[in-house]
Amino acid sequence: MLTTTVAGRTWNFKKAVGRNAAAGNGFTQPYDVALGPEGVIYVLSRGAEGAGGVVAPNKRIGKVTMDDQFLGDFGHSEFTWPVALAVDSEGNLFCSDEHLNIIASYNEDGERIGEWGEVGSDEGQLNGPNGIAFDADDNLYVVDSGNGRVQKFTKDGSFLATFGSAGSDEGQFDKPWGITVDSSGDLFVADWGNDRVQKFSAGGTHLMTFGSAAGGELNHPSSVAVDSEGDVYVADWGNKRIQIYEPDGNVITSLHGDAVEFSAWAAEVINANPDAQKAYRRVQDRTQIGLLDRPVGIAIDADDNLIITDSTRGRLQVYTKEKDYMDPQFNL
Amino acid sequence: MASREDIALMSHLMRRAGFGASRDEIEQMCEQGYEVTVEQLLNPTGPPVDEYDLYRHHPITEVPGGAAAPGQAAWLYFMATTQRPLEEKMTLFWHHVFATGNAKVDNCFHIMDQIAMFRSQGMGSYRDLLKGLAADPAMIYWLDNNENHKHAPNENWGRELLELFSLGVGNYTEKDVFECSRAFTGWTLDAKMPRYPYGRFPWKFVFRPEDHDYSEKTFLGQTGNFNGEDIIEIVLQQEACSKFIARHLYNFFVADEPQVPAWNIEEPRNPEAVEMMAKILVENDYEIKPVLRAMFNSDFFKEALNQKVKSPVEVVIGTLRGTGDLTGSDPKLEALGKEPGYLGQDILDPPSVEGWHTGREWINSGSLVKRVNFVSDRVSDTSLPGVQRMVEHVGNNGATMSAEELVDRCLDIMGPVEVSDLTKHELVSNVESGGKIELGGESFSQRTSETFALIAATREFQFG
Amino acid sequence: MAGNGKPPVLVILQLTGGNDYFNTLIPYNDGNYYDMRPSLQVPQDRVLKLDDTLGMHPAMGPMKEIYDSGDMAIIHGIGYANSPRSHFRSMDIWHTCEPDTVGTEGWLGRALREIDPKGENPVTGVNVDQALPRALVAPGVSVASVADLSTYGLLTSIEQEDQRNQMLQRFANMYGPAVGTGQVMEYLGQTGLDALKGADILKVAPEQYSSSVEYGSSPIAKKLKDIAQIHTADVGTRVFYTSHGSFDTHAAQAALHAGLWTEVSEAVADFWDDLREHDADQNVIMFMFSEFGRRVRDNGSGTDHGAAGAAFAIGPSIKGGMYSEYPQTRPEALEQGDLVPNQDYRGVYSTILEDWLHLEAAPIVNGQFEAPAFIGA
Repeated sequence: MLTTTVAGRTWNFKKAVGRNAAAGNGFTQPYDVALGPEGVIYVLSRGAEGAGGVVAPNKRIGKVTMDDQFLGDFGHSEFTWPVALAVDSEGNLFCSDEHLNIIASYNEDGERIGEWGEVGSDEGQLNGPNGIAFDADDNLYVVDSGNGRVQKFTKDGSFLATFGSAGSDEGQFDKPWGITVDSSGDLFVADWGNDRVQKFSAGGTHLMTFGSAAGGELNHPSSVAVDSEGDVYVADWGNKRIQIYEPDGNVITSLHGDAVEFSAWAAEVINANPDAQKAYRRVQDRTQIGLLDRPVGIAIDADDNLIITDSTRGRLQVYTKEKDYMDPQFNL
Repeated sequence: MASREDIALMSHLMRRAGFGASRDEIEQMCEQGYEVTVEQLLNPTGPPVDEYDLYRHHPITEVPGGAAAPGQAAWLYFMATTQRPLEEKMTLFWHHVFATGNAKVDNCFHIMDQIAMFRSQGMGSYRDLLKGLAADPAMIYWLDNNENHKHAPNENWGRELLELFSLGVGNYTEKDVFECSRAFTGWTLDAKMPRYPYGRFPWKFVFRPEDHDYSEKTFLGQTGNFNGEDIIEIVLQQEACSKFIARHLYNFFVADEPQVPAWNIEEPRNPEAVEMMAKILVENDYEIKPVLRAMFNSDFFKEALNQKVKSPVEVVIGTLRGTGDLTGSDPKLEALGKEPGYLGQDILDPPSVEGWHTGREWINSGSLVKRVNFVSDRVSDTSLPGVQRMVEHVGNNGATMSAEELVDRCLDIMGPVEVSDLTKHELVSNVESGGKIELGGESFSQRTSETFALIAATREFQFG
Repeated sequence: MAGNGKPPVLVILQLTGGNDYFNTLIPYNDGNYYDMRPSLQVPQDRVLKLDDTLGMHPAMGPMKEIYDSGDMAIIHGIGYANSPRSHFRSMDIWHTCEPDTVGTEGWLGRALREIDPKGENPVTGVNVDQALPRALVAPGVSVASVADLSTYGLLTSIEQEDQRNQMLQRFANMYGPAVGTGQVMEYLGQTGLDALKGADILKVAPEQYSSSVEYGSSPIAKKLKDIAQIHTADVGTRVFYTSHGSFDTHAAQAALHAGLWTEVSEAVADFWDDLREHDADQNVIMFMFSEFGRRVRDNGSGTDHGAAGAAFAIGPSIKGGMYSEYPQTRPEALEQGDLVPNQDYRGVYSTILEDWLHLEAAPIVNGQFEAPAFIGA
């Protein structure tokens, strides 16, 4: 459905950006997306070890724009298992690596400006850092996945606080993945192994839980984002969709992906490839081209564009939320 | 404490019905008994492999594209971490029989899909497997059934179904191949989504009635308007079919047979055993579990210790599990996935539809170097948890130890491996040349692990 | 026997991934080239001109020097009909000479069986790579796969050298007398001794070798240096195989392709300099191929899988020049957007087998094919 409408809200599919490519203007298993200054969208390619070793060049951070410009990439051969991105108030980019147990930072030119992280399970040590998110004071929350907790650091890596432990009770985590901070400073953590998202105060007090495995509502969620009206978007990784919740935890609707039309970069490939053109013409049902396949990261920009990394398909899918939409009371 | 014979027998069972087991596990199995262990293998209760953890950490392995390597890594992960070993070993067995290769299919995701079918149905009904294969997208493309048309039959699938998947050469005529192929016309693939620019999308089996030959066929002496399913039913009625599958099971699980193309010329190594297994297959309507049960509990199985040259997959997985070198997602997984290929068995990419030649054909001077080094690299690495446990096992008895005792205990924990006097002499001399043995400490670990490495290099260790 | 009285040696360098023919040998006066390559065209003044119509990619300087010296044959339009445009299938077809069925024997495996029918020398065929290519596979043929010559051998995890040497002696003793232990045990015994012998033979190569040629740091430079070391050690190797890649430049091709050819060209030139320095070049030819060329029209930053490609044969015994013809580049002459092959690869293999290795080609390549006469300078 190119337009998904529920009472008071509409999400219009806007476009897809990117294509599957191990280098250049494409992505390899994009795992996260973050917004830089002046319309720059950073896209993290998780990549694969098979193509060039454990620290392979296809693991990289691309710089693109919403209007399909490819501004270059960086970080090649610097990561083993990169997971997540976050941008601080000065426009510097941070990236976690769950195998190297580091948080690396870059300036706007893509130059490495810092790196911290010590492996272990003591306070301030990391075992598989996953999702990262800044609060309004430029402190960094890190999902310390292997230790089943969330830790708070200064952006230089000084330990500030920790909460949570491994388990399945309220406030506990099982291999948690993504995290976000909303405009009032509350935290949302994608508790992957427990099939839920948990919301916490900035101090780590459990506030509420979104979703569960019951009825297949959530299956191993990978990340979460909150829009300007407080609606909550969960990348429902196992179910290959985005679940949208009202702030009070009710499911509003799901997005399954609508990128049936080729992205600009994808079209370049098709236009040069007579075999592919013919083959696409023979395919009767093209809906599956557009479906999300393992969505991982979500970012929401100032215009309430919802940017989703569609990892298996090597692209971004973008939706725009239309606010205060009322279904017209006539038969179309 | 279990006797030496009990441990040897249980280790044999676990090598054949799985990929080996630690000594602690073997001891525990000996305690519960052999037949109970066989039942546990046949009816596994362990959790399935944690696929989600694999795909989260190695996303490329979920939808491998044209390259086999990510799929090989995924399957290696399954084999190295499974707690349902016979289920995974049967998956490998059916891949040997129904060998389908990425060199042609060029869409490894679909071969993985076929492998998943073997995993879920491998101990179930052979009938269901054949019918599943006839509609399996990877198999259809591999054997050109998408080119098998009403007015232009392609015999590739029809022939291999009879020659390699059910009856064996000599049990059908060329006419039967043709009629069989006609019955499978119209069993094809829906239009495929191109791989560019978003990667692979699933292929779909479709039956196209307009391309199916509905006219009468005479197949293996029966006449009718047969379709593919009817053909499979007729195949299953042939005595040759049960014998063929029984011989495959014997070759894979019990002792090395000649290569498949020789089967209509050379008698089975143990005709009574094959006969017995074939009979059980028929009596149980081609359910696989009963014949496995009878085989593992038979004397001929129990007497077949070290009668097989280990396949490269058995060498690699047995070593990874035994040494604890791969216990879950790990950045080295994708490189490890290629190792069986370096040793001579490119899983998901067999040399042809005939599968691999087994037995001594696994070994040549190039592959032997790789095989010995793969094992010795790991068993001599005392940082690996499994090697540490093996060293402890060797050193946990008494305050002194002769070189011969050390060698005996190393041979015991690595198999047990039975070696010739000559081999034994060399192993002992190697230890002796290092001087007096001090129990415990780093030098003991080193000398023990070196002995492991030299045992891995012996001729005897290549059998299992 | 080749020029210096020694048996002829063949070095195969496989350019894995599908090398872009159109940007390797550039028809620089052809308007179709500039039309079809809006994003990836090489400016005319940067093309390394070979003649009035064709030039090499600017990264191929050392290759051009070899061509100019007369030691290089360029074989145009190589391939076969109905290219599947799949890496794996295509590579298989090149390796087994079976375009229609899945073949099990490699063409060089068959050649090795003819050269050394009893498998007397365990290093008659040497693969300088980790995985054995199917080209070298044939029943009864054993090939040493050497990922890294400096560490090749058995029991390489044993770090102390004297300890390892002692263990290798034990290995030899254990594998020695095997008579009466059963057919498979006896076979294993012989195989173990062959493996050890092969490793011993290859071990001497780095020890004996010295050269003033300084190879670059790329993987292909290292591999060709390993081949030079083994070849100059005179251990009887007749077929070497190695590869470099990946040439699968779907995206960011401009930088990737230039980088690959820089590495390959420099490594190949250094290799030949090295052989010449050792007076060991006369009995060697090198054959370079890729499984297919790439799509004529670029996709904005790269190119997709195509059909016809180019192959190169290099060596003092090669009759330098161009063979076959550059395929038609007019849009209506393309098949599915690709250059159409006009020289069957099996014909080129036939030349190598008949005119260089002195073997009967037909049973190895499965038939008779037009064989360009590029050997015999």
